Amino acid sequence: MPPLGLSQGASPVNTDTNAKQNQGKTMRLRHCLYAGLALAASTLLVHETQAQEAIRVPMMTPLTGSIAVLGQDSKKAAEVAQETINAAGGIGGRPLQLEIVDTQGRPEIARREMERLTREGRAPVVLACDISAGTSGAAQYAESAQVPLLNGSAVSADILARGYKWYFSHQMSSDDEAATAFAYMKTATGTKPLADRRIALLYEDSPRGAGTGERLRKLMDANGVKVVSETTYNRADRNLLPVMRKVQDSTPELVVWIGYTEDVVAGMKAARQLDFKPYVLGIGGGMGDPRLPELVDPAIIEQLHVANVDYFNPDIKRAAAFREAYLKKFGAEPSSYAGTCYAAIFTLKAALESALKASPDLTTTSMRDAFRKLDIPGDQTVTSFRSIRFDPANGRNLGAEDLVAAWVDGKRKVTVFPPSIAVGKPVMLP
Amino acid sequence: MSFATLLQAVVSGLLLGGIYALVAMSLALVFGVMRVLNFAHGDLLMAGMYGIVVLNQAFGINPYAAIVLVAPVLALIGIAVYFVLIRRVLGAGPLMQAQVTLGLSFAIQSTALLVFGADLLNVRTSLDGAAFRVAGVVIGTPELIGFLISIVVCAALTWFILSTEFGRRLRAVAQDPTMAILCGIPVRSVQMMVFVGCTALLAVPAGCLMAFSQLTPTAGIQYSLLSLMVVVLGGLGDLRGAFVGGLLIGIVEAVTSALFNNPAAPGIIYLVFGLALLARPRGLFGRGSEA
Repeated sequence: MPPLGLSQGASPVNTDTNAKQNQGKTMRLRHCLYAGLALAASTLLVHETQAQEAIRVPMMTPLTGSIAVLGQDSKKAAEVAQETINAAGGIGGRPLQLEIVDTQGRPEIARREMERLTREGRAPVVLACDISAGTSGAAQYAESAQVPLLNGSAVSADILARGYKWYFSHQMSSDDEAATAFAYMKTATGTKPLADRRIALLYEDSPRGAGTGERLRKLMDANGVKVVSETTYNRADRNLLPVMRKVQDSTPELVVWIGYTEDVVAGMKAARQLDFKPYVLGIGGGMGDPRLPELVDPAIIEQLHVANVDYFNPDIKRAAAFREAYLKKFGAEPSSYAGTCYAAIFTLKAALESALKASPDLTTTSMRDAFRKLDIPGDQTVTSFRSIRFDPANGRNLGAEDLVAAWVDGKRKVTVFPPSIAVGKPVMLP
Repeated sequence: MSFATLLQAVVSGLLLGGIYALVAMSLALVFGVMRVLNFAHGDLLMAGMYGIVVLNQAFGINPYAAIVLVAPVLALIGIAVYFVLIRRVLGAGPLMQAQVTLGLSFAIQSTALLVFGADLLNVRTSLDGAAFRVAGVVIGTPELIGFLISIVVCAALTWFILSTEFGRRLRAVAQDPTMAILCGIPVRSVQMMVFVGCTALLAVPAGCLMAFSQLTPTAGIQYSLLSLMVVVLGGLGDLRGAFVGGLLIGIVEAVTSALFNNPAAPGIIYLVFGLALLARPRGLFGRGSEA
């Protein structure tokens, strides 16, 4: 081993240098190892954080203003939906967090909030449980900004007619409502032809009421059924006695009445004062409001044989779990506003899951594509829908279908139409 | 539309207009004596209506009887509002007064929403839906009672202003505050009492309205707009004008709603209002301040 001994003995300095070099290499290796470990740990941590990070989705709804009851009910539904989804493991392991934005029921605020949420908040998707006027402005902005907007409450078919590609309307449209009302009337008329019946139309004149009212009249005209009178009123009217008198003068057997709770209550009281007792087929939230028996004498509801075309009724089998959770949390039956918003949140969940499967990063495009691919069977929703599938041409829910619920003893609502989900029998005209 | 329906609209409008008249008279009185146009007037009325609902739902008290209990509460609210807000803007520009009272309006509205929620509330009484017919015209019993109570209170208020010592002082302050001070009238004290009294007086229309109508947290702003329109139509500060203006607005509102099957119908009331102002800028009797 002389060379080695020589080498070791002859160059002690060199040996020391080599040792230092080796030590330095080891140190560098160690540093590299530590850095690698740190990087791996941080990567894992990031993935872990991402897995736990909540999926935040803005939800626009009118918490204040003249239609605040819609927003307050939608907010309650959102709370129940969020708790249910998160208790079941969230979305792809991440909790859902709905961030509620108050639009006050005003179109200009809905549009402004939509702009803020997409520009500043960079939301990949926005949920709207708002009235038609507010949703209309928000949808217009969503289209220009290319951000998907999921509509949970607005029924206006006019928004669908614009052919937006970034608007997805989970809710049924005025066309669906008119079609269901007409189909139900054909059932309720029994053996007497509908064309021989005296039918009056009464509706509040906002785009929501007028939209459905006019569509139903056209549908009736097309089928040879004439209306004996068509009366509109402003929902801010404090005095509906003269309006109801006008309807009474046309001596209808059936009044098809589209209104909100406030005007429906005023009108029903006026009908009682006038001793006016036609059969009533309501459309929309007013006549289907579960609080109606607290606001008017149930005897009036009974005398008018009220049935209502609606988008939700808590007695249907598929809504049982939601109804139970809502009752437990709030001690009250969920309204139609609550039901439809709850259903929309579950559609949103399905789209989010689909988008996350394609890519862990949620983008506006991945959300739009996910909405387009959705096909949820009706029995997986809490509504009366046949399915949830969006028309790529305008975002319409092709499987949307209303139900009809009839008031029994003026105190509780029973789903009577369509037969596939009916719990009771339709109210037949005399 | 038949003549009977038109007559029905006139009678229904007149009955509701009587209650509007009382709401507007108290607003006109506040403006006449204090030169403050209170944009929160309808919201104070709404606070009274919520009081009526609470008393009815918690204790089953009839809305007319509840007026007696709600009036002192409204008086206390009136005292608080006067000392905290109104006193500070007496003599200030109309813009500042408007900002303060509009702020108060929003505060009351938000408080109502927080406390009572957005749900529609009403009061159920044995008179619910009660009515009788006179010559084919249906007269709602709660509406008629509300109208009669309002007319009696309007008459009593007029008598009080015209025939009592306080009424004379009040008129003196309304006509010329400086001269009233020189005559030894405690103007600030009179103004405070008028504001508090008019706020308490809102318990009467609150009880009458709740006997047949509904309530949401946005009802106040509707009544504020309506009473402001009536007061301006009648002539700012003119009590007789406010009374007649209230009746007129009630009738026009009901007739336009019955006559026109059109979403533009509510706009007609503003058209009538505008035309009336063009013809009579100082109000119906030409005795109010320039609108």
